[in-house]
Amino acid sequence: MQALSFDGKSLEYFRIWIVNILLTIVTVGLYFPWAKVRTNRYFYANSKLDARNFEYHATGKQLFFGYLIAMGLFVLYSILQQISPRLGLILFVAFLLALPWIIWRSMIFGLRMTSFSNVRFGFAGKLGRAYLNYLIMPIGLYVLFFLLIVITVFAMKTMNGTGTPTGPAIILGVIMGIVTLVYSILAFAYLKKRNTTYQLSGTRYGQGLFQTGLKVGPLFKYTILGVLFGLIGFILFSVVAALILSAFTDLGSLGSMTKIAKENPEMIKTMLPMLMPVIAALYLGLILVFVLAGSYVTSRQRRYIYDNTTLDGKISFASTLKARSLAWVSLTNLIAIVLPLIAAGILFGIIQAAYGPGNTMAIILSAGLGLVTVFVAGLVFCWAKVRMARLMLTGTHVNTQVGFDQYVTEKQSQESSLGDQIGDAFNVDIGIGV
Amino acid sequence: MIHGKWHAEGSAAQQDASLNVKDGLYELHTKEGHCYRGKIADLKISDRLGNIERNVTLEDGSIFASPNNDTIDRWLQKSSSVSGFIHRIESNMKWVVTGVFITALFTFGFFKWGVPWTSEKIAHALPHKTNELIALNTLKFFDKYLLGKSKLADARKKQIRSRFVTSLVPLGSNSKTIKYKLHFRNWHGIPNALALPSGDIILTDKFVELCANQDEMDSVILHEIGHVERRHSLTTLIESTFITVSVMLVVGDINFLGDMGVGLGSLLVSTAYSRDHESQADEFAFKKMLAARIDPVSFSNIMNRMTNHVTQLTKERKKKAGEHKIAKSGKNKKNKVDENSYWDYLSSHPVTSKRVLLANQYSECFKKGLTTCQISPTK
Repeated sequence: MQALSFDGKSLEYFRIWIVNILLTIVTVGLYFPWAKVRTNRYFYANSKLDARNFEYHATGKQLFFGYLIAMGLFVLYSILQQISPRLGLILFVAFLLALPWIIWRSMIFGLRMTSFSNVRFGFAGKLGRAYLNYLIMPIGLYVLFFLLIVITVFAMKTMNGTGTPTGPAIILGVIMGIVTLVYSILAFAYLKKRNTTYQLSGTRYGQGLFQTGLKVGPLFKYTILGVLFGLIGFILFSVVAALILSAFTDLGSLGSMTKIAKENPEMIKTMLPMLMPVIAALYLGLILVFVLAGSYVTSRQRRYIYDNTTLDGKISFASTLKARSLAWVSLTNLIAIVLPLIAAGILFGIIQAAYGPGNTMAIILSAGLGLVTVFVAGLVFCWAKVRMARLMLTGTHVNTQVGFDQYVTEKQSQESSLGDQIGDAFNVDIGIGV
Repeated sequence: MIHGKWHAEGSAAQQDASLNVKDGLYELHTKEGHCYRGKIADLKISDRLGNIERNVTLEDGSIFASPNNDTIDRWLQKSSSVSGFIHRIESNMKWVVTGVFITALFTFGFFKWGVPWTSEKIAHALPHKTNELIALNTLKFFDKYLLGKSKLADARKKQIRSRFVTSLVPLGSNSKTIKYKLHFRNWHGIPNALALPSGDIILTDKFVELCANQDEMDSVILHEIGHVERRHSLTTLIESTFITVSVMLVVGDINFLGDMGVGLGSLLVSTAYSRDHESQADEFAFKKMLAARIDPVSFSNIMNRMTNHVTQLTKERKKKAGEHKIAKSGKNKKNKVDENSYWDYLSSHPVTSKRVLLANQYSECFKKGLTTCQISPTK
């Protein structure tokens, strides 16, 4: 087994990133496809295994027209959503109906444009399967979920008559609540299994076939454990936060505050300074719990999926990504990105307080501050992205004993990029994460 | 001479190889004895990007890859391709800093002037039908979830309406295309006036009650007409589309954690636009008031009374909840909010004291009998 490596450097990527942004801004967005190509080329080419590297082959021109269409649709959607929610909804439903097709095209295009050691990947999954996996199954599972809730409410009502809930009805409600939660997680795990299988077993490397044999059980186990950790963590955090807060403020007032805010929205403004620490604490707690539980689920599922996937039954994979390291890198990345922004916000406040708004000196200082912030925040953002890529890749192991020498690119016609760009515009990020 | 790896077309198998260039001719030798010779112009060489391996595609489709970027660049003699230019910007720190500078300036200018200006132009280029379209179900929505029936006497309503139709609506410059209509509603005792882009103006009972005279009511209604005339709702809609799209363009690949920062940024920008709109509507009202011989000080009077009422109301409601402690500190905070500019950035309306100041300046003009007014920019 040999680990992948990532040779990208933060400063080098920062230069590419900032020039990308500069050119995108100056060309009012038209440069975006070329910027995307440069970013992808940089990250792919720096991902290496056994002295061979990945490559991204799409060109800006290939992506451009799809990008224009996607942008047009997006602008149309943003406008429709505000003018007439109904038309916006229709467009959104149309988009949902097209989503499996977009995913399918994105898979084909994305993999076709990716090579490793001069051999292109490919995708042979069927469109019908994409509709089954990304539309019919999710809708079916959602309808079942809805039915469960309806049945529960109905049962509780018939047990109660019209009065207040009785003991047995409450017990039934709690049990059905748990059943619904478990069902949802099971449904998620099932979808995860289907989708991963669809993506992986449809993937080709040259003439080679990826094979995967996943079962719902383990995926379900990791997800439900993650959810449990998350719930327990959040409850623990809330209790601790409440205890600490109650030492400083009168917690009872929180309830009346929300009541006042509801009756009189103008008052929210005056309460903001008071509520800030409470909101911030809860927000931080939520993020912390989310990252920890998410890292656990991601790393465990990844390990399970890699362990059960091979290329032609000969080349095997493994993931050594630890939940601990994933959580650590995610959290420190977050802190590193947020800190300069908070610092800039505080400095901005100090400048405004010292000179008063509209003062020339304040404007000059604020502009300088903005400049430094763009620089620092951009640098940190690039560092964080490179760091995450390195963590992911070094946590990926491949059995290279058989070698790759017998693989050759399959001939195939050039693909359009429409699906890829629509996927990109609506932030449907898919594809195999190495 | 540079060393690298050679792949036959489409093959994963690789062997060591070396490439040499002289006088526009190249020579490539692989370890297993393949040998290529030809003109360098016939080679396809990938664009430079950071220090990633360079691909040299030979005429038969086989590939020579080498990380020796600098030598390859020298051979190409800095060919003037666009991509070579981009790489030169990327590799020169001076250019990168300039890039950051231009980016920051451009972004600032774009959001400060570009977006509002363009949005306003677009909003005014569209037919008035658009305004009616976006307000289509708004009043119904308000009635269902927010507003109650007015408890004002019919005679009072009738009197306000007739004043509105005969004296105020004609002051607007588009009174023919826009169908102005006045509505009376009750909003849990909160004084307020709202304008829908269609020309529907809603007055709450408490607002009518608080107005000490007709001038005060006129000033606020004129402010609302200002919103309608300047097409602020439509402009806001276009502005927020601009923000969403441009933010998505630049940080398209950012993860959910970055979304927080982006969300806060968008909020700050859009509240700044909203404050601009309020100031514009104020100005509109003041100018029309001068033209109609109404003292602009009425606007500052009613604004002050409304603010005081809301503060009072909040205090009372808190007291009702038995929270003396919070109420006291709340009042202190409230004073701070008015004076401290820091919170300005989170507010959708300009601070009342500033609006009052402007009203008083216009009032000075009014007292001098002027019908137009030159206002010096406030400090």
